[in-house]
Amino acid sequence: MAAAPIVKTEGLGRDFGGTRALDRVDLTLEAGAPIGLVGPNGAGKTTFFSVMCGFLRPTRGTVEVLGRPPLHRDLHGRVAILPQDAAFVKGVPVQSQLAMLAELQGFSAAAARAEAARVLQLVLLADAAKKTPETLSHGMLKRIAIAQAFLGAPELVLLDEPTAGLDPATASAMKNLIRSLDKERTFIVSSHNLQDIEELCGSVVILDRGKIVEHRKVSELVGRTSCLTFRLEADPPEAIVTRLSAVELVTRVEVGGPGERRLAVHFREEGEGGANKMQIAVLQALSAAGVGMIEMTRGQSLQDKVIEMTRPNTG
Amino acid sequence: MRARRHIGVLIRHDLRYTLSSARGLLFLLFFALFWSWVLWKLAGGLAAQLGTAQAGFLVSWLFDSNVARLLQERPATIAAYFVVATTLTPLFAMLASCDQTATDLGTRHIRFLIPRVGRAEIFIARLVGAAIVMTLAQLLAGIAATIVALVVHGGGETSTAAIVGYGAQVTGFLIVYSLPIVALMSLVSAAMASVGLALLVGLGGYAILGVALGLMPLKGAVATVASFVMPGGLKPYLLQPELGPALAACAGALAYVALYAFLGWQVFRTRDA
Repeated sequence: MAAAPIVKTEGLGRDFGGTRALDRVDLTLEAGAPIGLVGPNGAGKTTFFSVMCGFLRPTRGTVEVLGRPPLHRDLHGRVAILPQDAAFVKGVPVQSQLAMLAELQGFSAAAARAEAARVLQLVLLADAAKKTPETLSHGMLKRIAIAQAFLGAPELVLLDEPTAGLDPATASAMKNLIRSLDKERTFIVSSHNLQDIEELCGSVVILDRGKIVEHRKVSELVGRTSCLTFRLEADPPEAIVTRLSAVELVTRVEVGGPGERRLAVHFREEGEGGANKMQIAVLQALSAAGVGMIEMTRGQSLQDKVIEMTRPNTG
Repeated sequence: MRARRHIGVLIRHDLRYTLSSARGLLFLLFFALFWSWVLWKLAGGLAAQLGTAQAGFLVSWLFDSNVARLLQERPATIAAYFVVATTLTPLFAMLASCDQTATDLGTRHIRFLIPRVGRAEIFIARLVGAAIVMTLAQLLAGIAATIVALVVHGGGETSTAAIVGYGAQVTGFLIVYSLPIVALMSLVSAAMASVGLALLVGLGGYAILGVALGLMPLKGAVATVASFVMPGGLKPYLLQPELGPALAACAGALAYVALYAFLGWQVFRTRDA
């Protein structure tokens, strides 16, 4: 028998008063590489994440996590969650709080203390074990919250903005931690930081205005073998678009919105060195138009792709 | 089995937190200081004076004749403690139990808990934890009152066994009488999701309802029903020298517990986390 999807929603909807935050979301997510959940502000990302976690109840439709409704008794300890805005109890040392959560997951009191120490070590905060939450910085509290999501051996870990509020070095350490554990469990990561999603996730779900607009592998979405993206010193003139559109094998030319100074050239992959030839053609066109280039990347960045897909005036 | 273990873990940590947090210690300190002062006053002769026939007229006028009889027929120190305690139990019970699920909901700490335990387990653990704190506080105050009564009345007409027995009975009644308030606060704390707001609404609601019912010109069956809107309606039955009405009041108190806890659970169960 095939394993149940890690998340399955059918006709899922959630309203806040008259506002429809989620609208008929049908989605099936399978276990495997980390999955990113992204979208602009107001897209319904936080609502969808909260419904998936069981923090919010759906207004319509159904959601199942590992074949059960969210927070079902059978899921206790199998699904771990990093909530974005939950607080630890003031005045109680963080290790005691983590130990209590571990005990609730089935650890004995002694084993729970050891488990709490282990996860604190994972997030590089072993020396903060005896400290109370009010004496820790925002970044440290975030790491403690991440630590609680790694108690025990959950099959599915849902992380809401895992790197928000962390300095670059700590954020990098947390991403390495996720990468080091992603073979043993499935992660669903909700984030505004699309670079993090691109680095961490194998596939991505894009939400916009309460609906799913895309669910694909990141590599397919950014088209690393069939697209070149250029960051320019100025917005590309229309003449470049016209010139490049006429180049053989070019299928589509996209320019960013005003001020984005971005140009993406999509092309058919035919034969060896196609990308190199295309690169030369674009550079010649830019040179002819007198527009300088700052950076070139193979494929589009996920950020550009998401902006493009969720732009209000896009079809 | 797993649920019982979860509840045990939550209660254990809840009690440890209450007994070490500033709010919990402040409550216990206030409770201890207040009862020390009251018992010191009672031991100084006030209780003996209240138990005289002359004071009985004043007590009958202030309360009712049953309270006056109680002070005369029972060890006066414990009876006087009982009268003061029944009046103030709602206040102390609200102070002791205003948190329950309020902090869990208000700070969203509940989001760390519900992936691991059921909501029912959290609700029960918080309710039982608050009831244990209140019970322990009432127990200590009751023991103190009994010791004071033994010192004041020892060697008099009343035997030691009678004083200790009545002290235990009063303590038991007060514990049971405080439980409906603890259950009421489970409802208020789940609805308010804020400790301060829960306390304000609990105390304010209780006081406003009491004053409103006192001012309304209610008569007959309506007045009887209205007096039982809050558990305070049980007080006249508790404060009687006979055991029967007091036991009936205790049974009534447990009915309030069931009602308020049920309503509290309905609110907590359906709230978004």
